Formats: sequence, structure tokens, C-alpha cells
Amino acid sequence: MPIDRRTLEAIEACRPGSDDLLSTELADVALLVDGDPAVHAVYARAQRWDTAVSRAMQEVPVPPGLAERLLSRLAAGDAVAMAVAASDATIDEATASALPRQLPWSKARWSRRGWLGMVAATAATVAVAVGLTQYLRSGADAPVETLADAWLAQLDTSWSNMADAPKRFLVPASITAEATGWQRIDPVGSVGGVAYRLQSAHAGTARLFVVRLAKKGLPSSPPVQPQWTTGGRSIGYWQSGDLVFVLVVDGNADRYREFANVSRMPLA
Amino acid sequence: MSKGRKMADRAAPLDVGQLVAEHHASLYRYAYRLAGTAADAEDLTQQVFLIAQQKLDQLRDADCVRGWLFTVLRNCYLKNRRRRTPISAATAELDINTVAEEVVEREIDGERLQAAIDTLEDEFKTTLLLFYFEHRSYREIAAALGIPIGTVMSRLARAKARLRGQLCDAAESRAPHDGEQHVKRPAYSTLEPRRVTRQ
Repeated sequence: MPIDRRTLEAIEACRPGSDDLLSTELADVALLVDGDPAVHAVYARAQRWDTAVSRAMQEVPVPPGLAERLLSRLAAGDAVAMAVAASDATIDEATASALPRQLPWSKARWSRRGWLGMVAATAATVAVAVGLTQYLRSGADAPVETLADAWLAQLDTSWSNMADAPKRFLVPASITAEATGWQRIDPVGSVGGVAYRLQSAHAGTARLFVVRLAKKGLPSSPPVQPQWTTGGRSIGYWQSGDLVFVLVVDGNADRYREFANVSRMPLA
Repeated sequence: MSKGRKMADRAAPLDVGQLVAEHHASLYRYAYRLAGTAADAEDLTQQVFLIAQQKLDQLRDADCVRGWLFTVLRNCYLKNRRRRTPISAATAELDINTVAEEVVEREIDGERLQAAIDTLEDEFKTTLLLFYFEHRSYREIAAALGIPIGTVMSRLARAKARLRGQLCDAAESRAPHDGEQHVKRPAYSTLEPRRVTRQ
């Protein structure tokens, strides 16, 4: 006699090795499992299957150095990225149960002083942002690492397929890591460009910006020492024609060199 | 005892560095199963810890950290996800007998498992991972996703049917074609009659 759909679904919903079958809403299914050898066989088969799949689910190799890279990025203190990420966070009801009863933003009514403070803070933020944008618009005068920070802040996690990458901004041959995605960046201090996500088997991910930018005196190949190493981040840049390549790696110079075939020539 | 521990946890604020040390591997694995690629998994894991760094002061109960991090990861994934058109699990045949015994007896291949997961729509994929990866009960899954228990059961059954179908097909394709040795399919006589859907 065929098993009805509800019984099959209930059997599928029981975790392997659990007492899920003892719950009150599955009492009728438990009776069938105990009393009908055919149903019992299906239940046993499902439990074996679930045990095997649960085990296989966990078998994902963790890339070497992942924890160090994560800590390095956290220490880098990319305030913009953190703010964007934090604003994206959605805390559902399950999460909310782990939170204190009164969240900061629901704690008190806004006072007039609070509103004035918020308006003043917003005005100051806008002024700083406008000033920074104006500064960055000058492009050629802005340090490359400053531009890189602005480009990094634009990135989201929607990487496009490499097959569609624009031909005008190709990844240079000196990059040894695999490019696994790209996204266009808004022109800030340049006439346009593309960000690539790089994946190294040993060093995790990095970002490469390929931008059309009027810069003078940059090396013609990836430098052996990144020009900028601070806050746990290494940034190296070079140019070819009117294209500037900016390699941003969360980590030290050794990790930076995992992504590019670096030049042993002295910096220009 | 438990209460005392929780009070002690409240006194000592959680440290994101400690969270990375304790949870980065499991979060990465979860992210990999959701996203399907190493690069996306690492990005997702990083995104979770950035959020944790910002919002950690809101979390008072250290016992809830793991579940909270998984929830943040799942929400990040769903938010970032661009629309794709995977094969719909809604058409999966609900027949538990499609499990080839040898597939279970042998190690399930991680890559084929991932390939099968990748074909699922997000609603089936997240339900499946709550079950298999977080080991949540159907009641807990219903609460986490805000859907009825019956919907959880239906989604689980259909998603598993899809996995079975894909993994059994993969096992069959690996079997030698000598007409004698092949992956053993169980008899289908006792329960639902097996319907042949392929043409």
C-alpha cells in the first residue's frame, strides 16, 4: 500500500538521530513507523540518507589563511564598507530574540536636542563628503591609494561573469591570480574603469582596479614592494599606456605578491 | 549554572577576533554551500564578520552567537543574490525510494552534492541548509523563515527529492556499462510506484 504524501513529508522532516518523530503533531506518523514494516523501512532509509548528506555537507575545505585574512580586513577598518555592510544587515525575529529587549534606537523618544544634534551631524557629513568628492574629482592629483579607498567603497557583492568583462579594461598578464568576477566602478578621479575580484589558491581574494587615469611616474609593471602598506592592507599600482592598474590586497607584501608576477626592477 | 554563565558572558563583551577564530570555518562552509564558489563564500564570510563587528554590542547571549551569525549570513546571501533560473524543485518527484542504497553506503561526493544544491531555488536551498547544516528542527525552520510547518515539510521533501535524483543520476553515470555491474536501485514495489519522468 503506497504511503501518502503527508506521511512521506513528515518522515523527511525528521532529523537523523533526533526525537522529532515523538512530537505531538507527528503522533500518527510515529504509529505508522512503529506498526508498518514498509513505513519503518522508508523511515530507516531516510535517516541513513540524511546522516550521509549531513556529513557530506560539512566536508568543505577551508582555504588556508582564511582567519588571518578576515582579521586583517577587520583591522583595516574600512569604515565605509563596514557602514554599508552594517546597513545591509537584516535582523529577523529569530535574531531579535538574542538581542536585549531595548535596542538603542528604540530606547528613548527623540528630544529637540537630539534632533538638532542629528541635523548638525548630517550637515557636517555632507560637507565632508562634498569636499572629498571634489578633491577626488581632480583625479590626477589624488594619491592612488586614496582613489582606491573610494573605489573600494563603491563595490558590492554583485560580481558579473568574466565572459562579459569589458575588453577595454582587461586584466593584465602580470596578474597571476584568477579573476572570478568584475563590476564597473563609477568614475572618481578618472574617466571610468572596472574592478575585478581575484582569487588565489593560497591567498584568498583581492581586488584589482583597471582604470583610465592620467598619472605620471608610475612603474610599468607590478612593483615587488607595494607602494602602500598600512592598516593590514597592501596596495600596489602600475600603468600601461593610459591605463592604471591598482592591486588591493588585505594582508602584507608577501600576500600581495601571491597575486601578481611582480617586477624586480626599481620603482620609476 | 547556565544562568551564571550567561551573566558572566554579559559582563565580558564578545570579541570579534574570538568570533573569527571560533566560527570562521563553519561560516565559510555554510557560505560555500549557499553560494557555490570559494570566492563568493569568502566574500560572504567577510561580510558577516563586518556586520558582527558593528552589531556585536547588541548581542548579549553568547550561547546565541553561532545561530545569529548563520542568520546574518543567510540574510546577506539572500540580499546579495541576483536572480538566476535554477531548475525548480517544485517539479521534483516525491519518492523516497529513488535513493540508491550504494549512494548512501558510499561517500557522497561533495562536488556533486554542491552541483545538486546549486540547482535549487533559494527557498528550497535555505530550508535544506537549515535542516542539514544547522540541524534545526522543522519547527525551528518554520520560525526562522516565518512560514508554516507544513510548508517546511513540503519544501524539505521536494528539495531532498531533487538531491536524490541528481546524486543517483551521477552515481549511475559513473557505473561501468558492462551490463552486469551497475548502481543498485532498490525495488520500488512496496511504496509509491516509481513514475518515469524522463523521456
